[in-house]
Amino acid sequence: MAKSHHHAGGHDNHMTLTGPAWLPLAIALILGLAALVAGLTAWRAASHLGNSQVALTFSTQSVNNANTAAQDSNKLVSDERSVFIAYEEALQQGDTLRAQEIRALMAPSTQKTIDWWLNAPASNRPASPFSSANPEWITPRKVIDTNEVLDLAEAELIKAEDEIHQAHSLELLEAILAIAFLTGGLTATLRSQSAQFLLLSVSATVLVISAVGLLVLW
Amino acid sequence: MAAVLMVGSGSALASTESDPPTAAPCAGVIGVIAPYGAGQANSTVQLNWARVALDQFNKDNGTSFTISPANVGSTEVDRGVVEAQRLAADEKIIGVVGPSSSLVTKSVGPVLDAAGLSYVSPSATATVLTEGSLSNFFRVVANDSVQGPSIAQFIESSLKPKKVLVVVDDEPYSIGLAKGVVRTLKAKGVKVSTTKITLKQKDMSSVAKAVTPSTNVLVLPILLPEDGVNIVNAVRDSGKFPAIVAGDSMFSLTEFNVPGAYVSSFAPDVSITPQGKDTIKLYGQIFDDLAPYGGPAYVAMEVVLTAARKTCVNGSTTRAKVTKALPDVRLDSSILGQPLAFDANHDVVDGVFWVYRHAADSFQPMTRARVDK
Repeated sequence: MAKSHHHAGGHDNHMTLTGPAWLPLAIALILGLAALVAGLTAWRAASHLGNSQVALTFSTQSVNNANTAAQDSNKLVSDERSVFIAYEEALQQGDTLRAQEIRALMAPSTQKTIDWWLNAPASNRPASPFSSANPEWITPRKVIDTNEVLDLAEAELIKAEDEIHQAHSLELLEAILAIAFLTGGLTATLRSQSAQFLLLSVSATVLVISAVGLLVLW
Repeated sequence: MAAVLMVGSGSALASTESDPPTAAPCAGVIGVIAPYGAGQANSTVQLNWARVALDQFNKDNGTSFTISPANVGSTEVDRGVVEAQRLAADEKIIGVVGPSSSLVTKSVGPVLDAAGLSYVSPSATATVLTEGSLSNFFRVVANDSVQGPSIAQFIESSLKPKKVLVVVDDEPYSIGLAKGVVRTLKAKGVKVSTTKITLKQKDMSSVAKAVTPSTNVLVLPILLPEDGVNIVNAVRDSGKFPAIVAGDSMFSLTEFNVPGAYVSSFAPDVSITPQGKDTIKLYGQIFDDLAPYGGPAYVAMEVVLTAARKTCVNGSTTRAKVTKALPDVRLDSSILGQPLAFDANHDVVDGVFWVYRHAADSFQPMTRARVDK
């Protein structure tokens, strides 16, 4: 600007802002607010992305926990069935020593499950100890517990997706805010007052929409 | 969540209005009179569903209720009485789920009543059970007085009946149900006639003869599926093909294998109720099987456990307290697709029967599956 004042040949061709006196203030205010909204929007978008990462981590951890619980549960079911067959065979053969050894290998819950069945009258008991009629059978509860962990993982995943969606929406808002900067900036270059008002209105409108959007997506 | 917190922190936390009057985890034994696969009683579906309800309730509420099973089939009256006496003598039993059938309930009820035990049946539908003779009997499904009118309403609204033939056998179940169907159809202006058979009648040609050219609906509110199959075969062999509508005793894909027939049931298919989808998935995970019509046993257990938990003080309750609390138990929603509450007779409020179409290997709910009273 200083250079143009001392330009050889004399006439002043530097850009001047025509229009009402409040125009520079309005432009400055709109651009300033737009910058503020853009900053806040970027900050919230980053914050939501961070939250999504945390939720994804929790979700992954919960899925791992659920998988481990499911594997434990399946192993328990498989182990208790095979150990029961061996135990019953040993008992039927009168091999008490082997029966004792097998019993020692059983999980406490399996021991209780099998004991309930063995103590029930043979004429009135389910075909296997691992039946809903057996109060000591813990498989249903194991499955319920595993499902709870899976539900937790699913909830975290949904939360992560929501956060990512929110972050993307805020990023879109940032892109829209660029219109406010563009039109606000161009206002200063125009001589026509009606064009200035038009661009300023567009800028202000975009700014208001973006601010409202930011509040909604906060 | 509140229950979990309460379990974790003992009695320091105050109870909310809906919580039981104690913070200690509740415990108690629930008798379940249902078949569990031994002897004649070879179906485990009701016990399985009751068990899923018990374990899920314990998980959700931090309770430690357990079961004492009583293996009683739907026709095993003597065994039922013996098992009822066993449960009655065991002070740890605070409530009972079952019996399965009206027949057993009639004999077992007085034993449980005398012991002050309440018993909630998932499937005993005889109207007489809630007419005053059994003081502590409850059921979570509609009774037979609803079934007859429901079947009639379905026929009138969905089958465009010209003339309806109703077959009756000599069992009280059939007589009562047929009466309800005929009365309602007549009230709706539908032409109805009836014909009688005896149980296990060998020659069903009399029924085939009673089916006139204008008869386009044949109703079978009879007890035995084998009689139903014989009737359908006789009618079809005579070249007549009316729509077949049967009562809930025919609700069996194997015993009443008549594809295309309409069959009523007190149990909704829980796989299509919004609340039942997750539960039937859980059932499948535990039992490697699906039994979508066993939902009432789940709800019956839920009802007993709710009463037990409500009355639990310092970790335990009594059968007297459970019996007192049961009439007021309300479930805002259930896997049966509707809320649950009892009327003054201990019948379920707004009980409904459902109508299904027998497909080749499944029951398909009708478009208007739920048939209102």
